[in-house]
Amino acid sequence: MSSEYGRTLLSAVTQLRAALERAGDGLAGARLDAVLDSEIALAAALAVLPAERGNVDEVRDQVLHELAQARSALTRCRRLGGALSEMVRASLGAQGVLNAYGADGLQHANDAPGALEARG
Amino acid sequence: MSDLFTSLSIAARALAAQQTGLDVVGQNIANVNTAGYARRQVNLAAVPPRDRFSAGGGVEVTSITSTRDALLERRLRLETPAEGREAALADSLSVVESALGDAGSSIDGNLTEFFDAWSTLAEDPTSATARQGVLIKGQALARGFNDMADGLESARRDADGNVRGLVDQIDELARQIASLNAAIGRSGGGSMALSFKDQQAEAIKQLSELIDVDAIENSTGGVDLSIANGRALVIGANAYSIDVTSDARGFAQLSSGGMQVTSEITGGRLGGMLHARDVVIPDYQDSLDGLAFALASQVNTQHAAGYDHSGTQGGAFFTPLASQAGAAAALQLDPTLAVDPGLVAAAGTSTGADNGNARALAELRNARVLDGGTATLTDGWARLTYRVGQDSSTAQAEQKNRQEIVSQIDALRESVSGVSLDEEAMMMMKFQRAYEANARYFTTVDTAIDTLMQMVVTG
Repeated sequence: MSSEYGRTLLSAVTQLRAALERAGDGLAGARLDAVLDSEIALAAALAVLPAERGNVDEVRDQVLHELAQARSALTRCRRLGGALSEMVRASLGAQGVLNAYGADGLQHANDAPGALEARG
Repeated sequence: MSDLFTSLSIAARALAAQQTGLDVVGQNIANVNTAGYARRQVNLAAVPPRDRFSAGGGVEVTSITSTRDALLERRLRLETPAEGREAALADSLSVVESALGDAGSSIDGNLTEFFDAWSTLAEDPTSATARQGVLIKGQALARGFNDMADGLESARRDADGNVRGLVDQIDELARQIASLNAAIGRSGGGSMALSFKDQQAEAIKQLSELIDVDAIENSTGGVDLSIANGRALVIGANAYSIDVTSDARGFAQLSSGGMQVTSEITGGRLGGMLHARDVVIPDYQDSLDGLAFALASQVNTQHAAGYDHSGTQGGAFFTPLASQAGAAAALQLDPTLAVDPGLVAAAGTSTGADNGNARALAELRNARVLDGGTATLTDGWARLTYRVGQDSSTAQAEQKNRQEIVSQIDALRESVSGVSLDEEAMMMMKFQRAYEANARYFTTVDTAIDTLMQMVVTG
């Protein structure tokens, strides 16, 4: 029973690490589909993480390794996401449309009175 | 007749405009792999009608412009020096790492063998061989510290050599950019100016890898560059070189316009090399000196508390060190002791025949004499090697992260280029929303990792 808990935990942490790495790859390659898909993968990975304690003696080192990798993947996602957000803000700001798009990605033309076609 | 002539003129102008368009497309395709090349686009305009009875004069090319995105380029100029800095730091630390040697066969191995030799002497305190063994291992340990001090100093000198080489490269690129400024000014716009700007963009990119630069477009269409705290590097057609002088220890000190800028340069390969030379490696040298100083002090104190083979009070085992600075390089066996094993103070009493002091000296391996009584000498060495390893892997990871951000910017530029401004903005917003959807989970993931770490470590 104790080793079953360890294996479940290891599998869940591995799944979380993989989801974070996929999100990071999507952000690094600016692949919209991959970034969208990773949201679902992250939610699924979080849902299967065990909430209670158990015996992990047999897989302790592997779990710790996966957790360290997951933390590093999370840091990577945050950094890439930060750079992406900054780029998007700067680009939209320069086009005068920073607040011109809603959460649906649709244009709200009236919100962008200062929009200026400045590119040749 | 004039109507037919007008029609033919319109058609000829249209053909010429389309021909220019094709030429530009060809140019874009031919330069797809050219570093620094920005895609060209042809700007067309309708030729207005001559009078109210005319439909118009057709179409003509008004200009050829490049699709250089100033924002993305600026962002690249911010990230590139950070990547260069980490790359230089990682390079320098890999030299230090190899100087430290493998675990068990470096200073740690020397320490173990030194204390083992005292244990052997404690088993047979009158043995001339065991006394000689202590001296041999003591000498080997001192040489280990000397070699390590040399290795760190040599890594520092390597970094200094790189600093000098990088300054030469920076000066050369600055001159190149200044001369391109002059060429852009002379060309008065048009295709030639675009070509010079491409070359300039590539030169600035190379420069950004070497040093963090601020770039401002000047009135002639070229670029003015400054480094450090706003020191001029390129103004128009003039390049201002970075001057190099040597300090008392022979290390390069950099100045610009008569002002010292060494400590102001933090980015690019130059910033990384300066950081390695002036901060990181000296810090390791301090730790190594601290270790050597503690070893010499502890062993000398204990050795002086014992008695030699003839029952005389022991003297110094290592030549006493005046201060911690430079201790690792100066560590050596006391010259008088080195040639007379009988002077090894193994005895705890003046009979000179017991093993009391040899045991006490062997026990020093377990004494917590470093870092406020928290670490043994071996722990001190392990902490130093761990720190170097950590610093090195952090620099490598940082470099990889920065590299990835640089390629992400390129990828983003690729994925949104060639579409209309509206589509580009919408696409960017979609990326932003998709990231935000992921980011909502990040705090939960962070907490989950913390909790699980805690559970797994303690459970």
